[in-house]
Amino acid sequence: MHEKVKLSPASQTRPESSTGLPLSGFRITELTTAWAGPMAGRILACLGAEVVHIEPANNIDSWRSYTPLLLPKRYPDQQGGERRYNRAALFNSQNTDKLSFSLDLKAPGGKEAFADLIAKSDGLITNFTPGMLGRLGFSNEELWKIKSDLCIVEMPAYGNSGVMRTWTALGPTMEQVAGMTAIIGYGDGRPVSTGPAYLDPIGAFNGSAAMLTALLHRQRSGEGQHVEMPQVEAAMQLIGEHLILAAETGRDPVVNGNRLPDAAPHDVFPCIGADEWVAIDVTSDDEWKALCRVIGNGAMASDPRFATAAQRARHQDQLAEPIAAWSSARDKHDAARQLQDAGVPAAAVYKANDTLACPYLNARAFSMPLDHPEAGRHLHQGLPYRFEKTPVPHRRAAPCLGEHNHYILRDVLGKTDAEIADLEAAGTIRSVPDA
Amino acid sequence: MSESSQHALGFIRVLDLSESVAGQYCCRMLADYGAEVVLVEPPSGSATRRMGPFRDADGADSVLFFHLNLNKSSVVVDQASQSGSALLAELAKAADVAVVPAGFDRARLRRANPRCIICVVSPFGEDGPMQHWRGTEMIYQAMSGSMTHNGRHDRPPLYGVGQRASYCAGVAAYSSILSALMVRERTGVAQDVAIDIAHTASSMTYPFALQYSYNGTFEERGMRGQPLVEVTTADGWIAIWIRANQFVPTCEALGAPELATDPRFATDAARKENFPAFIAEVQKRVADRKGSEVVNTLQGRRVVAACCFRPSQLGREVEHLKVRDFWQTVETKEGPRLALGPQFRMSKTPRRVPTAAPAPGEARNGGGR
Repeated sequence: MHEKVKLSPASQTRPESSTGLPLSGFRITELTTAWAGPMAGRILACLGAEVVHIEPANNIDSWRSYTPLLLPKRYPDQQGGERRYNRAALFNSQNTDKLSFSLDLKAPGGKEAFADLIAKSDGLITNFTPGMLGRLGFSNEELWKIKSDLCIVEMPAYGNSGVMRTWTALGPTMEQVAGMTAIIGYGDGRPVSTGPAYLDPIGAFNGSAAMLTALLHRQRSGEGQHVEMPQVEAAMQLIGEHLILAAETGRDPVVNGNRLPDAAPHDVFPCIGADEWVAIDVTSDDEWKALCRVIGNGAMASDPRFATAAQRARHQDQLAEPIAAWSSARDKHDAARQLQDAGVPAAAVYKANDTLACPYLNARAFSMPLDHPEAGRHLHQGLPYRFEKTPVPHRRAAPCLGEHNHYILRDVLGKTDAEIADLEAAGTIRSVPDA
Repeated sequence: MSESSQHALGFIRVLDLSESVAGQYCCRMLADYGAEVVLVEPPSGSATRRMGPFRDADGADSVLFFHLNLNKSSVVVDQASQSGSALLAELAKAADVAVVPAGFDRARLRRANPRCIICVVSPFGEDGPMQHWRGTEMIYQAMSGSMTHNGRHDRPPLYGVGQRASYCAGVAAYSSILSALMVRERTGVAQDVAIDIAHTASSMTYPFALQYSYNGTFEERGMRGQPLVEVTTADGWIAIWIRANQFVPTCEALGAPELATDPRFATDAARKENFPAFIAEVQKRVADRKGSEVVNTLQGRRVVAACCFRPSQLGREVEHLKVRDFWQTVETKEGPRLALGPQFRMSKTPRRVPTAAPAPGEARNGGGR
């Protein structure tokens, strides 16, 4: 060792590598922020890849960031603490199983370190606006000069061409463009955007699927490629049948709360407690008869106004009343269970605590206790992948900012301690963000 | 180059026995990226042929079936009969992948072909305490933890239209199958994989549950204090997301610089307190303007804004999608029909040009494999 190496504030750890998972042995570099991109990387990490999330200290992942409107609910014990960027529920939910490399590509030696990492990567995933990689000097062609078989997945909002190419976007605005917001509402003509920004996880599932497609082709042929995954176009598939019909006829779907024009009841009904509901969806006559049995209303079962789905749909207000009278005296979970046991599609409308307590989700180990050095031991929500022979449990909590700088530089890229110290001295890798 | 090597998945054959939106969308994606997919239908026809929306009033032409089954061929198999059982075994011998519903006799496929990757796609899985529960979109959305956040504080929660949880489960099943194929390519070992739609829907929810684990707090519907402004213009709704550091440019781009210095909105805290009043001010200023012009001006200042497009606009009016050649034309017996473009665009192994969904028992029409 040539000189004394000063360690950065975040303690540096060396991760155990995965073995026997579908993507064991693959390394994915991730230049992403917020939800869709990081969740795509989380999926690949869960499947076994070593995923390196690059997040410079002067421009940290926005889901680590301090947001005045949201504080303090997003932190353990509602305390941000000294290093709140390591304690943010948003970031820590989407970066399990990953490594954090707080590399600033614009600082001295940053581009070189990035190129070195690309040379050791199988895939690169980004969710910034188009052209970001090129502006940094890493066009596809440049990247392939460094690593000829690199699989590059870009997740732009609207695509790499077209008039909206350069538009900035977030989940809540992308869902408006995808046609989803316009078909949700209370029937008063006002569209309702989803509370939790539904476009992001859709983008994540599609972005990771795009990377897997490219990696599978590469495994067979040795050929890398570029994949453009526009989040809006991928999301449009999910309501494709409605978009096609509207394109063909010029008519838009009828929007009327939770109600459907051709089946009833299809709605939520109040239960015991404040803002507690049970969702009930009856399509067939058999389900209708079962519902009437459960709520003990024989008169309704034989009422000709409710005899067929079409008639029930025409008399929704009349049939809602007795169902609401029944549900209002019941716990939402009991109501749902009773209905499902009788063959009626129903579910409690879950809140966060219901997710943690759900027997079905717990049987799937959906909420897993993971220890985070600065946020503590908490229940992290997982992913739906289940493999018979290569199970994919979450392995570790989200990394602290820059937690794996030394591992990546020394163990992956073969840098000396002196070289690492130089990068730290130049501010190229830091573990404390700008204020 | 033969077509099979132009497409990433040109080397696999798939049996779509799924009989569900999720399973059929999974197989649609496999077909799109090159797999040869056979939709195995019962003599009564696939269940999705009878699911809406329909193209005609008598429910004979399901747009849902059309969208889910482009690029596939169809074989009618009566699995209960001896000849049907033999035909299925014959099909399975050549299959790399089979997508099946819960309760399907997987051993039968496994006996016919030990190298087949079998993917079970189902509402709540084949085991666990809710395996007998019935699932539909609203049921998945309700249990996912997402639905409670959709809508107004003083109104019931909204599920959202369509079958989005099922579709996303289809994408997850696609990824599971590709992962298992990568393992099989390396080790020669095939395995079964499974995706539950309810499980997928839960994984799509904003991290409210981790927040609850962190500190026991809830978010309430319509009370998140999101900086999202939704207002109506002369030709439709628009949405503006106001980042804390972009309040001044937002007001300027709206032609209302005075709002930036209005004491009701001048600080983060004041703005949060008076957000409904701010929305009302914005509404007044955009009511008679063209939505796309307002959005263009905002985007010129890098403000996150968008038009709220109706489905009919996306198919007919949106210039961006035209420039990108997003909509595609599929030749059918009834003439050309519209189909959506690709989920993602691959530079070396592009998606297939779509061919029409099959009639029962019909081979895939159009250009070969």
